[in-house]
Amino acid sequence: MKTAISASGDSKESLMDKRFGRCPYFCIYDDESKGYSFHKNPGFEAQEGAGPVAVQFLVNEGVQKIVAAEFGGKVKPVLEQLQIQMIMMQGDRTIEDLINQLKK
Amino acid sequence: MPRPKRNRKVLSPPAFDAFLPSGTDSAGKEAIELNLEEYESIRLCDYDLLNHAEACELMHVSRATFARIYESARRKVAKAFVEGRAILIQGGDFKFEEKWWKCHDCGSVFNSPGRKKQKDCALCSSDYIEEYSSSAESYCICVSCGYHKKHTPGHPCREEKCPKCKSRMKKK
Ligand SMILES: [Zn+2]
Repeated sequence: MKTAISASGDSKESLMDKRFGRCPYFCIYDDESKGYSFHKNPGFEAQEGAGPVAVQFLVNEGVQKIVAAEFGGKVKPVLEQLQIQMIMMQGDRTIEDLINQLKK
Repeated sequence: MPRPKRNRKVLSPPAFDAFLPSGTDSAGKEAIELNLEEYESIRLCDYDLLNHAEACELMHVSRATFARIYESARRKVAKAFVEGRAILIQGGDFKFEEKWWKCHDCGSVFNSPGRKKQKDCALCSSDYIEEYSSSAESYCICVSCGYHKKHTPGHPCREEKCPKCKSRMKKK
């Protein structure tokens, strides 16, 4: 299963980004291969509808769970419909810290 | 007769239970209770930056009802800010569209797609998770004497002690 983490940078030392739609990067972790990769979020530069653009990108990548601090009122119903799991975390967490949690 | 359940929606719960002011003795002052609809109205308008029309559509309420909830929320937050009172986020009369859970190990809050029962944390796989209840009608029940009391949101039932016989309690 693939999990996306909203990321403020493209390294594992980067912090999780607070806002789902407008984060600059996503880190996608695959719990079968235990590998992860960083991807630019096409929603980051979208003029409008950053959330739907980001969601579409992650659906194409086969992501089934997303970690962010908040998702936004317009995105939550969309993810509910697509049955993509939302995981909300508070605080300043590094990508590495979150990947380690997912590996447990 | 209990009031009929409204169809107000809240999209997701907050990941914490309260705000506490610093530099003042908030313990001696009555806390402000912000219900989940009030919390949601501020989140949608002032954090997600949606307009009132979008917010009331998401909450399944009329414009007038939304305006009332939002106004009440702002007054409560202002009162807490100015008077240095704690804000407890709890209660209300609404439904979540999804089942939501909180992990007491890593602190994450997550939903379960398709309303499936969730056995462990979606992030850290801990089994120390608790389902969020969207109403005030959930109870903790004592495993030995059956005594039950109103559940305190965010406070796991299994950490509660029965006030009568001091046994462990569980979710009813
Ligand atoms: Zn957890």
